[in-house]
Amino acid sequence: MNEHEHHHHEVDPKTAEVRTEALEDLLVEKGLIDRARVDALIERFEHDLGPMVGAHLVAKSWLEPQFRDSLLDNADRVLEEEDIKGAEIEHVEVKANEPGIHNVVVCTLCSCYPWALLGLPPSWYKSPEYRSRVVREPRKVLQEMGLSLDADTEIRVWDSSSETRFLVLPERPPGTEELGLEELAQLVTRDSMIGVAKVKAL
Amino acid sequence: MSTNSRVHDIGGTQGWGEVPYDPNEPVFHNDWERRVFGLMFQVLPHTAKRPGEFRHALERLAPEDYFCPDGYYGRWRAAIEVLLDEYGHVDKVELDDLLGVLPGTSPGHRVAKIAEVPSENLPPDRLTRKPEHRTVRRELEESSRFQVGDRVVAMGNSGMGHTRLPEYVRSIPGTVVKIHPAEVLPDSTAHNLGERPQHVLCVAYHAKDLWGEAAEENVVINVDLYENYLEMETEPS
Amino acid sequence: MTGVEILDGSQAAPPRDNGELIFEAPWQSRAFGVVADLVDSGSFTWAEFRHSLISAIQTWETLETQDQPPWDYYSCWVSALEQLLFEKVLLDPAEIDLRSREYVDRPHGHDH
Repeated sequence: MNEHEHHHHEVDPKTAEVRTEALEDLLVEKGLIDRARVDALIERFEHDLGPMVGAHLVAKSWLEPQFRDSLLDNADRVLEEEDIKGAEIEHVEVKANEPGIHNVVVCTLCSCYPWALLGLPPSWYKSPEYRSRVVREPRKVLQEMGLSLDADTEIRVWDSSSETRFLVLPERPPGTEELGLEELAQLVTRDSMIGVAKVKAL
Repeated sequence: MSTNSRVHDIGGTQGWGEVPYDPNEPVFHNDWERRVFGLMFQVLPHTAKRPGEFRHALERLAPEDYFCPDGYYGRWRAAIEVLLDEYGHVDKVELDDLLGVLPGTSPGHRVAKIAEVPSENLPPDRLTRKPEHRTVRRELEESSRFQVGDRVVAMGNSGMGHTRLPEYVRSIPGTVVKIHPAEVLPDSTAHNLGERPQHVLCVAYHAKDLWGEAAEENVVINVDLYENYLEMETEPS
Repeated sequence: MTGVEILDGSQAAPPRDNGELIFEAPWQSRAFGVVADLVDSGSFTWAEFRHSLISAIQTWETLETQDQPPWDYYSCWVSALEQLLFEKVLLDPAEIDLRSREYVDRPHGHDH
């Protein structure tokens, strides 16, 4: 037997995975792309855009009490230190959910939303149904959206009528004690940071 | 109603149905929404550059244009058309022709004109510092007239014009719970009447004060209000 | 915003979960990053890529059932990328075929 025999994968060379790797390497060799830039772009798309920005802040708050305190006390300073910039964050306030207190965010006058932390807003957030009803009957609206809160829980609605933008810091679900920052961030949903859902452990 | 607006101020209004909730809806539902989104960034630098101007254009739309079947991006599109006409870039009559619609049927024909806002309806202007990396935030030398814990009532003014005072809290007593950084006053900037920066106060209202005894238990509504909207409560309840 | 939103609101929209882009495997995010870098460096625009992606998706749709592989968004993405690179004469189909074949023949545990 040939001692250099290779193990042939039963893989169709056309499979996208192999193809992608071949493409990337060829393009790098031809100088059409730059590997470090591609890495940075992936990082940006996976972590810096959309709700992942907010999700990382939440996950870090769960792991580091001091970070959480700073975020609740002066979110702007924390965002500056974390180098988070972008549209619609002249001033950010983070509101923590805790046993007995649930926060939810709205903009009744238009649809103001913290784009830089959560990406583009969902349609329902901009709908007249949400804008009109969540300040009037939040418990019922949240129930309809799948979140039941008991009668003893104080619901705090934040109407974004100035340039302050609100982010809800949801409670950490039980059963996540062993998870690290990235794994925790993956659990945090956009809807939980608006306040219409809770975070679930998988 | 003190706003030069039609129907945007809907907090607490009734008759609306269930929230059309979909946890996984797409960012844009179709192609034209995406184009309107992109168009906005191209149009604003040539039209509504001042804080509140674009919002005010939306607010001045006729009800059927604000609550059009095309939804959020539909009204953006209508506001873009209005601004292009008002700023002299694309006349609305010409637009009807370009769009191939019946003359006089595009939103620009139904929009409320921008009101003349008398300066006496607005607080005085003052020089301030703009912090780095911000656009509407300002730093004021004077502290706020109010402090945390004060009982306040938002009256605003009775004139027409853009405002960020939602009707549902007007004349109801609430409590100052936080003082946010000061900002330029949209009621003024939207009408090109100067910055007139104001402290911004977060005022908490009990649901029962807003909606009556039938309101849900244990609900607090927090609203951010510009200082000039507010007065101290004169007769504590 | 970044320009990638141009893909949303059409058949070409990438899968998202509660607003976030979803990548089921690292190669998918690499494919995304490669296109993003090609756009940034001016090889083509997001609009051109989108056009190519919609074509690739339509091609998949027209395959006969017995020939049609299961739906995989990022497979279409990679096809679209290749097609666009060929059209722009930036790569040759033979080069990719050859390189892909070489990679398949690699022993386990290669480093990339």
